[in-house]
Amino acid sequence: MSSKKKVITLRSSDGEIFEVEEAVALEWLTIKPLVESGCTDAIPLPQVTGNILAKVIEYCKKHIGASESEDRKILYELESWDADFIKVDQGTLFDLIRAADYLTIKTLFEFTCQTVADTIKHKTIEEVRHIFRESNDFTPEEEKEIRGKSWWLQGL
Amino acid sequence: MAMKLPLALVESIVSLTTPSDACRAASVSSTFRLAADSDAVWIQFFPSDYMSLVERAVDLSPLPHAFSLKDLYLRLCNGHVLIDGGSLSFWLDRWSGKKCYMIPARALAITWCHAPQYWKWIPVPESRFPLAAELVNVCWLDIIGTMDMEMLSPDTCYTAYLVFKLGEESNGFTDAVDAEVGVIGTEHEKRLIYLDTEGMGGMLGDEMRAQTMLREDEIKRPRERKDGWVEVEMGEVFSGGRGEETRQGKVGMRVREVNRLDWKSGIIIQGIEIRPKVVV
Repeated sequence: MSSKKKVITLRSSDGEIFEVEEAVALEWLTIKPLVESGCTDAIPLPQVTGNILAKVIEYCKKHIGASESEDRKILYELESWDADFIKVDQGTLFDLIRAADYLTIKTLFEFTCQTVADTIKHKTIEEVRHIFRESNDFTPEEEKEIRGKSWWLQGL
Repeated sequence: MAMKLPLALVESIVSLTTPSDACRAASVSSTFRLAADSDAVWIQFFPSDYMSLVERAVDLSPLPHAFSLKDLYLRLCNGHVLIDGGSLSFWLDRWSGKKCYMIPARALAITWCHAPQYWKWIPVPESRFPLAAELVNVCWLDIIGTMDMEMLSPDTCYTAYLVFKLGEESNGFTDAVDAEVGVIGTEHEKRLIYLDTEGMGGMLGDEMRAQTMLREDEIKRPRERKDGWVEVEMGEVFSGGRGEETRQGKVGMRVREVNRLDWKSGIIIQGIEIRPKVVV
């Protein structure tokens, strides 16, 4: 029996080839059935670019096994590693959310969504528009109606 | 240039914020409004057992299932509902979505409350409940409210308040009285509170302060509420984490004056309210 860990090959939307350990790929529920079926070809991931896929793999390699650890030191180290990992521009952060959603990676999805959620907490409507590059497409009447309904909860 | 996030992902993000953030998010754009007003987002802001509570409501109109979850949330934090045949008032704290209650005087254990020479039951128009308890005259004042800890939202510091009024003819409340809030059967803090806004603390009050090492400014005083009643903090209790043993216990909330035993009269009790402590 070979002691060498089984490796899965992935191909990003821009043709880059990545190799990950099977244990990492099994956490990605979207491709799990393919991995389990013993697929040896490169698995195409047409919705994820190479640079994002590299980040996703980096995160999952770091987290495999560690997230469940009960050792406070390991968890603390992981938390500070996460904080550095997520210091990316808004576009990359949104790409990571999309990739985590597409590949169904629960830990990364929750982490990236929480990161964005924390950035919009206590922000004004204008600030949230800026973060998400949304533009105000309401009529003045609609705006008045929305704000009027819950003005006492909106604050700011 | 990154593409905009799809609706489902905006929902996932907004559901990790707070009710106040979600209300603002609805004003960002029409896409955001669809996400931020969705039931998928608002379900996250409710206590896990909210449906069993609203289904016990006697005065919720329309029926709970006719509301969008956002509208139901707004309804439950903008006004209370009576549940369990009117024996409890329930609402949500608007900022946190945590459960709040007021136990009516009728459901409190008030010593002598069935003897009309000591206590009377009177209708008060600005009360949540049909009857309030008016003190005719007693020496022995003892009011106890209890609630199952499981009724409270977990992992939360709650404050209990006595909600009352002092009638013009009230008497015997210038000195502080005892109050305590805690898990029944465990040691908990006792404190002194004033029921009279004008309470100055007489001789006996000073003696009690010396005994309990309390300074005058640490004794809670009543504050006016928006509903025309006054309230005074009785004490605090931590509701315990999910699965912890304290979650199985009962919270006891008590106001009493059985030391001086002077005659007291004229207080009108609406009930005891318990709501999350405001963290400043």
